[in-house]
Amino acid sequence: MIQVRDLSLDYPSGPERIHALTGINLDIAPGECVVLLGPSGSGKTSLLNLLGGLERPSRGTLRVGGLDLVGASDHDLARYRNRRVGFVFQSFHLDGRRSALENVILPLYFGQASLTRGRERARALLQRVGMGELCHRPVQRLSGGQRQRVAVARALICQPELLLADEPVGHLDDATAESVTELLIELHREQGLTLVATAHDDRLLGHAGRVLELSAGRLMADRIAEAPSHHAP
Amino acid sequence: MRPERLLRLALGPTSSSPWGHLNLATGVALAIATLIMLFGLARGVEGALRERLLGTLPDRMKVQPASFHLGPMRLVDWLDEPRIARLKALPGVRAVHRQARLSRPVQLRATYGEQSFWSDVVLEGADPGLVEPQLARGRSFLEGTDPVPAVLPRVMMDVLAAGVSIHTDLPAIAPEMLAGRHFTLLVGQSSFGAADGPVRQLRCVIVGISDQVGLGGPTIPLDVLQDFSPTPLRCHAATLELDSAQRAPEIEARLREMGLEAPGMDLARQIGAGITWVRAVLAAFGSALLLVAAMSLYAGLSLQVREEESTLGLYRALGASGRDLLALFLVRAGMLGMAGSVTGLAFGLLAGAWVGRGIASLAGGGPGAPLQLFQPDPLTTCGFVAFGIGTCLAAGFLPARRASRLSPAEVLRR
Repeated sequence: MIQVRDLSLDYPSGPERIHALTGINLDIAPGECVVLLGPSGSGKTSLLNLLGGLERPSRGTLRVGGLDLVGASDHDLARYRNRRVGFVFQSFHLDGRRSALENVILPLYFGQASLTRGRERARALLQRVGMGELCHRPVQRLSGGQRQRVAVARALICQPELLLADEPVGHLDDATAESVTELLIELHREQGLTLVATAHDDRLLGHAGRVLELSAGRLMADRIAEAPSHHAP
Repeated sequence: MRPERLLRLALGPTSSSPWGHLNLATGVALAIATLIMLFGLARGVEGALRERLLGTLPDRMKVQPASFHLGPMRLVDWLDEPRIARLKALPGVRAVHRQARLSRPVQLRATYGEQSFWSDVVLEGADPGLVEPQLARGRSFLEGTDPVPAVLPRVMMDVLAAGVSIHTDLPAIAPEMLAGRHFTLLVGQSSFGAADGPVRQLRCVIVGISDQVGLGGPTIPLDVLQDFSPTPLRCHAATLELDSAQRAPEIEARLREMGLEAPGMDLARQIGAGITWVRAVLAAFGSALLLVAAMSLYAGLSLQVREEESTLGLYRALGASGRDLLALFLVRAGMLGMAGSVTGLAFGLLAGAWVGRGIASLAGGGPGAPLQLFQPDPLTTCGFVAFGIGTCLAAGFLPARRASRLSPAEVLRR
């Protein structure tokens, strides 16, 4: 599904250029659960951004499900992000002026799917992530764990094939982090999603099928997780 | 993005307060209202000037022989019968109505309520066709001897209205009140004494008020006037009735070739040139106001883009293309422009009507002939509304382009 060859990402920072990623090569099969490990600044988020079509690499090739993300137009990349990728961010990135339900249906505005049917699906997803009772509550009045559940529901509204989660439990307390991790893994299993996530702790690591270790923008190790809870179909 | 979704997103919550949005639209509303009001007033004033100075019938053209000045002397020529015949033969001329003045002094005597007054006047004669369109209902200007049908110039009624009605408790004078009233003319007499020859009395009945006749006094049928002149009457002017007002410039050129002039056309040109200049100044003033409003809109939308960067980055991450965000801000700018322009339209029309009435009442337009000083042109007014919306779209373009070029990864990283 994902094919990465000699992928590099540089960006200017004052007079210098930062090498965020250098010479990454990897393949990820459909339905895999991959966890990216590494210290801060190792390039985990940059790799997720490239996989999600949020930015373009400086060099190399990157293909996801047959789409060349390097040469794709702005419109094609936008469509890719809308239909084929779901994002879960560490700091949620919800629209604070909207309710939970409105946040979940937000991606539908940029696609072609029916808003009416999407609204029903959003309710069902919120129900699924345990937020059915609070769907009309403004997200500003939700706790961190509740917000991340809303963000997970939003990531799934367009039925993506790839779920990218950047430190999804990084801002949550232990109990909430545990339940959100469980939720992500359950959804990954139920829907056969390819899940690529970054993590600092071993909560998610315990469920991963594969672990990629990054350091200073380079892929240092690509190994099968020690105790995978799920095998790719 | 589908248009209805774009609209819902544009109308959705923004981080700026609604008052901020209203302020942005207020500037546009003010500019459009000012433009609509001032241009409507300029058009009304132009119309009033043309009507009062040139008459209300646009398919008529007054013609007189070109006059020559020799030192203090003014040499005047006359319209003799051969010239009248040539005028009648001009293409585009439907009829020619002659006008002549009696060279003897005439005094007008009349009573109104308990007021009686007299005035020295110039007695004129005209062909019936000159005044027919402006006769009071059921009245005729055909020859009559006792009483003789007479038409008063509109300006004379205005003077009567301003001089008598306003300063007494008598009712205001209106054209319909004057129709059927009688007055007496003493031909051969003036306030300075009798002229040579006998004084003859002429009883007249008012049959209409006209802006086509001479301003110096009443006008009676030309044939009747001839009876009071010791010599054959000589026409000092004629009014051409045209097939169409559009043919006036072409006919005017022919008149010049014949040694005649159309003073109304010159006046119309002067009025038109003056009003064009006034319009240019007003347009510059209105455009400056709109420019200020557009700059304020630009600043407001730029602020919105800065305030909403994280939301816009999120939209990009969720599938919005750069073009979607460009359209989103252009729609916002267009909606602000529309709100401002439509509000400006309503305020401009109301304020223009109010100011126009105020100026008309100060100018004392005369009862029965109210001045319509605010006459907005529908096409120009629609043009201003479109101009307001277009200016807002132009002002919103740069912030919209900035929004469309935001890098989602960079924004979400902050």
